[in-house]
Amino acid sequence: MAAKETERRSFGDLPEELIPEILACVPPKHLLRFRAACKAWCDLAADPAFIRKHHSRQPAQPLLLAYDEHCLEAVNLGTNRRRAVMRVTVSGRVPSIGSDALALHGSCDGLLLLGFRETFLVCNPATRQGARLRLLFRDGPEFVGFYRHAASGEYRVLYHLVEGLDGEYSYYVLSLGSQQAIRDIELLASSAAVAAGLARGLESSSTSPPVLFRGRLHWRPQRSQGGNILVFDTDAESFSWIPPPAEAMLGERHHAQLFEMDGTLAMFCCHQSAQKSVIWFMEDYEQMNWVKHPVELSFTPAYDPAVLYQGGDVLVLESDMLVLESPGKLSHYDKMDKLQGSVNCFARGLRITPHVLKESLILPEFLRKQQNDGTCQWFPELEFP
Amino acid sequence: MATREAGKKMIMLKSPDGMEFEVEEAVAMESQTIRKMIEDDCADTAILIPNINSKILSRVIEYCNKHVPTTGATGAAASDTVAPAALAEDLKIWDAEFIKVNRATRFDLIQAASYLNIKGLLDLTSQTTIDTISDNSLEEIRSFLSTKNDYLPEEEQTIRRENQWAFQ
Repeated sequence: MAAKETERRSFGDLPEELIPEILACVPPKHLLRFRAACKAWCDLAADPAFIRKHHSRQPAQPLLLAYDEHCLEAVNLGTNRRRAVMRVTVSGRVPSIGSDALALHGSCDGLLLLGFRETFLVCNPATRQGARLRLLFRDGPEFVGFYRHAASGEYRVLYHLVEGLDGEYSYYVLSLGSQQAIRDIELLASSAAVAAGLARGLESSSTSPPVLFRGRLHWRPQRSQGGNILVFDTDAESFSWIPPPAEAMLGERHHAQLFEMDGTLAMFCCHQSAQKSVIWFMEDYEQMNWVKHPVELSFTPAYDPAVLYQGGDVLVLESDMLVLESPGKLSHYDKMDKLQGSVNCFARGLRITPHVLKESLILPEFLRKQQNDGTCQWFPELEFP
Repeated sequence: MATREAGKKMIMLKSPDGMEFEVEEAVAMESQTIRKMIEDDCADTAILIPNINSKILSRVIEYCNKHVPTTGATGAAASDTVAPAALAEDLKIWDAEFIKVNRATRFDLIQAASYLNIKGLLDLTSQTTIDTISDNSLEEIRSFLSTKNDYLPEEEQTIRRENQWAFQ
């Protein structure tokens, strides 16, 4: 025994404290399997600190909708391969667009917010757990944000509704607790102008989701907000504005998207018919100091109003760019416009969603009692490949 | 000894087996652990790096040398945050070559990357390890990461049942 131990050590034994470092890189499905290796790993996979570390080390995977097949897919930017995340099995014909189609409304900590037919769902595809929301399409809610409320640890959905005859929007928060309580949140707006902008409404989070940065949600500049970046403090649950770069061109034919890069809030802007684009970095968040970085693109973002309406054909991530150049041609560029490869893509009915999935074993309180044997009793039409 | 050479501040790193490595401060600061020591002014003389032998330390320095941002002027956000494309591609190829080492060396590198807090190196070494074991059987994984099965047979069955789909 002693001899064997020595032999092992000489072969390179890994100190125990480094096991979590390695396991944090394992895809969630493998990690769930590894729970059966020994008790310590099983405990590790349920440890909140480890789950956070694991989540932070998982790759960011852009999500696609294969809308003819009612299927949500993820792109592995390391291999440029697509994989199905989940699929809705339908009997009979279901329109692939409109409120009956599968729609993705939000992504937060590995949890996805989905809509299909009359129903809204929240689901963790990594553990195959989920629940229906106590909200229905026909009640007319439009989601604008999905976030974690740090103080309570709850996941919350921010949505708005047109109420009254004046066509103004009211805002609500649905807490995904065991009771799924709807709260009429007190609209804390930093000024009367911000409140007026909110009443005019926001773009839906299925097309323009906000970016989480420093505990705040940031929406791209919208006309209803006077071209400002709307900010929602997820802890205080209050709204304010920050100005976009003064020189930024944000006309009708410009595509703007916010993202986080190297710990900085950044905004990608391109004109729909030109190959010039600009990335703005907010070098100093407190001083709101934007720095300009021009980028020459080798492609012209296809001008297709239908596609752009659905959220754009360009998705910018921390160091990559995913571009649907034409139907069936999905390309992966790095931030400096160097082609990193084509994503195999035969399906024509494919769209880039503005959402990214970072998988996680997170188990919110409202899913804790649920079995995760892979069957979706909460929504039997859902299938995991 | 902290010395100046051609305008660049140099730092001396010492391994426990007595070897000394003179590196640029910017290179050493790829390690968050060393960065903190320098920022807290604990690094006037040579820094002793415990538990990392000279063979591994020289490889770690090699990695940091390659990955230190190659900007002349510091402070400009654009050049700091956006690495030129050619460099990014080269780095990927270089990383793939760098990590072609035996298991013992790789584990030593993981340990060094963890202690020195070098995120890129930790990701590279852990990911490579994972890639080699992810699809193996549980028995192989246990043996690879030197862990022992301490479940009773029925306990293991319960765990397997909980996420049966993950075993398919």
